[in-house]
Amino acid sequence: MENTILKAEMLSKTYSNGSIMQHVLKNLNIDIKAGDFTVIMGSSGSGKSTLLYALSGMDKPTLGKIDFKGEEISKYSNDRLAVFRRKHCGFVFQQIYLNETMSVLDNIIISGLLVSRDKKAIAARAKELLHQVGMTEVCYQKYPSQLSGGEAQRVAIVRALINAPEIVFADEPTGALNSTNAINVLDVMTEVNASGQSIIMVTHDIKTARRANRILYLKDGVIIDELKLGSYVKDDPQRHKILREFLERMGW
Amino acid sequence: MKILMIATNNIRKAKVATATLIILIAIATIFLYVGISVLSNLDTFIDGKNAETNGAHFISITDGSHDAAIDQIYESIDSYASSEREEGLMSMSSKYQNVDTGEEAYSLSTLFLNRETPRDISRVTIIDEAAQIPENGVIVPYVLKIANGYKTGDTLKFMVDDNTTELEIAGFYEDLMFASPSNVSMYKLYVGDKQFNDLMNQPVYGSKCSYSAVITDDIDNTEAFESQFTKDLKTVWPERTGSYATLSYGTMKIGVAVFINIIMAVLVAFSIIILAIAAIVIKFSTTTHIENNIKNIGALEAMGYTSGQILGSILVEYLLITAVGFAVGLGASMLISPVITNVVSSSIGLRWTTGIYPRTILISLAVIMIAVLGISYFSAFKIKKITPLTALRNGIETHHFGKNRVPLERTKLSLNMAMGYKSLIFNKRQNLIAGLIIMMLSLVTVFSFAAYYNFAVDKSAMIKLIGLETAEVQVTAMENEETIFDEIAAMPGVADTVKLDSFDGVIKYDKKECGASTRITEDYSRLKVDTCVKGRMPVNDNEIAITSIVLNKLGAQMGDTVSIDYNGITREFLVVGVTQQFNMLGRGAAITTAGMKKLMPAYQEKNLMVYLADGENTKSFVTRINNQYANQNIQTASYFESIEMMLDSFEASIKIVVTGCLGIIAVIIVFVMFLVIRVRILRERIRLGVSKALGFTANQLIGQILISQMPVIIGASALGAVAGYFATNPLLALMLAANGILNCEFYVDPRLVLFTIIGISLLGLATVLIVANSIRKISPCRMFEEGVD
Ligand SMILES: Nc1ncnc2c1ncn2[C@@H]1O[C@H](COP(=O)(O)OP(=O)(O)OP(=O)(O)O)[C@@H](O)[C@H]1O
Ligand SMILES: [Mg+2]
Repeated sequence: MENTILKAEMLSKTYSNGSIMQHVLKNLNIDIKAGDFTVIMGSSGSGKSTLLYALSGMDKPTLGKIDFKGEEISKYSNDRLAVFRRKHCGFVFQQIYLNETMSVLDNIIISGLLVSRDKKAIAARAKELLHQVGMTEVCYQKYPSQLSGGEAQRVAIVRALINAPEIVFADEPTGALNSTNAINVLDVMTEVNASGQSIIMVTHDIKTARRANRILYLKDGVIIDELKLGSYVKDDPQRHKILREFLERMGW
Repeated sequence: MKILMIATNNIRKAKVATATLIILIAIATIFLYVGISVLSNLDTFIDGKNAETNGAHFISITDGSHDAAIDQIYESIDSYASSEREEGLMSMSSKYQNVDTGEEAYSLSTLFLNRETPRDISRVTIIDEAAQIPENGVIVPYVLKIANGYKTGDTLKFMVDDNTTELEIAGFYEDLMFASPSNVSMYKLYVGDKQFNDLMNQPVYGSKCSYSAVITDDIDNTEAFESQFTKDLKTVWPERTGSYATLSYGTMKIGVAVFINIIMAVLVAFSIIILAIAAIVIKFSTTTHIENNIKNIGALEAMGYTSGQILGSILVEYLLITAVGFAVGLGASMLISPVITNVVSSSIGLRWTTGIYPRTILISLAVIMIAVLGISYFSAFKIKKITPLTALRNGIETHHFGKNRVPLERTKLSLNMAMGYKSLIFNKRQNLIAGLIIMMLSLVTVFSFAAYYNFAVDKSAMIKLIGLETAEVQVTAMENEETIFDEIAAMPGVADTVKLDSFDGVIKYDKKECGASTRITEDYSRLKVDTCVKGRMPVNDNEIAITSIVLNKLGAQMGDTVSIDYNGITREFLVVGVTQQFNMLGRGAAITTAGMKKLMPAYQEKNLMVYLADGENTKSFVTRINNQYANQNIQTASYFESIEMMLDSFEASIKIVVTGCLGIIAVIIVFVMFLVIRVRILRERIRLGVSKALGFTANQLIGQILISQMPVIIGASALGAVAGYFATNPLLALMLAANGILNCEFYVDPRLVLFTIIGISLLGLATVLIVANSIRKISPCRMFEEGVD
């Protein structure tokens, strides 16, 4: 699986707060292959979320271009970008951002309806995914603010997966989860990845990072190093050691 | 200081809300300050004006046949101090036309006095005096300058029948007693010695009269002086045919102030409505503020701020806004004071001077501060109940989750419909407040439009409130009434005639008594203007209908039996109806001709109201009658013209006030709608941003916004407008209650209601689209990351 699905060239993002300019991303070149499970790590404020937003076409880069399967999406209009996102991307936000006006189930279905009209199939798939991440039927009709942080996060993950997108962007999807739930979620992600969907995930957690086949390390808006890990093998002590050494080198 | 910092920070963030509130408070301040300053200072002002010229407390104008007896009556009344008598010329059926203003001729009785007669009571101080007063120079009431645009040097035609004398306006005078023709349907004019004698020597222009002015010891009880005088005069001069007028300072003062008092009461009422809108806006923005910032509030509390301090910061925020709004409003009131001066002067007929009234400023400030701070305290009070924990969990308690009415799994609604509908019902409480504001605005719009229409376009409802008949011509016959009246009724061009008289009756009930202008006619259902508001008009000879003002004075009500004294005969009447009228200061009553015959068996109707057919010219009709009955003892007057003349003198001020109100309402509507809609969209920015991130296009989102906002806007404006349709008259009656008005019949055009609904909905739609359009360009992250407003 060597074909590039998403490619960023000379990607830069600058925020200006009044007269102060902050260069958050600096001339990044990234190549995501179909089926990659990419993890982005880096200290807080290094630009990880910003990078995800740019790659997913949610925010326009200040400079540089982004190609999706050879099409330059950074040139798209806002509406075309919206259509691109609904067809090809799934997104798990760091702040979760469920729609608080709708029940859990509706939050997921609403995303599904953007792509398909088959309500029954969408609902069935939503329930199936919810079950996989360890959510019971009790939650279906709850509203987001009635959920615990971890529950909300899992709903957000299911929402991102509902359309079986080619690329799943996940910004710290396990941040609020205990280890059992985190493992459930990561198992789902790994399964999804195995079926050919690419995953780009930001995490601070080594156990989570272990799932990836490549790790990008971001520092002050620059990818300072990359680690290739090969396909995930469960409970592989060697894999854990290599990752730990990599991170120590990065000053983790 | 910390609190002040939080407060100013909040103000900076909520620019639109702040601007809207400042405008609302400023406008409420203008209305309240102007209303209260005029209402509370008018009385002192008039007294002061009167004192400047040693104005009369009482005036009697007669034919001079009972001068000695009258002087004796004066002497016998305790409060009498001094009096002056001079010779005048009384012209009952005179007409006027100012050649230079291009006005039409109008009828009004005239009292000419000699400008050169020395006098100590009601001295004449001339305003805009001509450099050289010409021989035919005339000094006219000030109201003609301010309300009718007369200028010194204008030529005024004075006409009686076919005789015309040209007078030149040489200046204006102020005199409360003759301030406005709406009060006494008579001009008092001062001419020079030569002109005076010229007129006196031409009997066609009128007859010699005796004008006497009285000063009493008690200016506050001149009405008592008047009623004592009238009573005593009856005994020495029962028929009183040569008594033209008795005027008391108290009655004239009320009469002069009645319209401006109504206008100012409407302004104060208006300011209260605006304060109510401001209150809902405050409630709206504090609720929004708390909901949007509940995490901040939680964090501040977690950091150790007490909820009292946070509440304090909100109060300080509104205190600052109120202070600015009040200062702006006060400044604006000073700026518009020339307009106010004009409005007041033209309706009281005296030169009003707008000063600065510290006490009024304090009262207005207190009212507005208490209203604003009270409301903000109560709407922000729930902060006290928020613990850091609940706050940080994002206001779990602020929403009550009902059943999921539109589960997407099963709904037949389209995607956008479903999402729009969900946000609509999710924001129930916000929508309720927003809807309430829009409803109020829509109600006030209908009310103001209706007021404008009835004051300025079709005045029939106003005329009805005044309570006078709409007959074009009034014929008074002293002899051969029956024949003359029958002949007139049969004349071509006459649509209808009704015999209608009135006399000054004294109505008694349970030791109390009250004067009332009592109407007499055979069949009240034949009158064109129905003044009855409760019960019915009298039908039998023992029945009477009385205005609510008189009933209140007497302490009587419908079903009670009152009595009327007439030349020593007392008869009892059963009150069968309540009437209302502005005319005669609301003091009126009505009995039947048969009832009158019980008081005076020989009574014969002398007065005929003539309603002309459409297109018939009043002037030529009057001339026709006068020619036909030239050798009979009759008087013919254009009746309705003088009512219109009286209405016209108020029209200018009413138009200014109503137009001003309409303009202000338009501004308020634009601002408040913008605020409400903008805040509601901004509240949803995270949801919208995330939806956009998930792949909704801008058009889909705008569609959803429309679905979630428009039902509230359309529904609320419709409810408000329909409520306005039904509430306009009750509201008006409430405002005029002090003038004895129980029931108004202003015409509210249903098309106006529709127009208001469509107008406000379109305005809402435009605002929604303008605000919603901004989400087109913004990238999803910007929408949920950046805090706006
Ligand atoms: N909308 C914005 N306007 C201005 N500056 C921003 C904006 N969004 C992010 N930044 C800045 O960009 C930098 C990178 O932010 P970003 O959210 O990408 O960091 P991150 O690597 O995801 O951090 P964390 O691990 O804490 O989530 C930060 O310094 C942040 O302050
Ligand atoms: Mg981040």
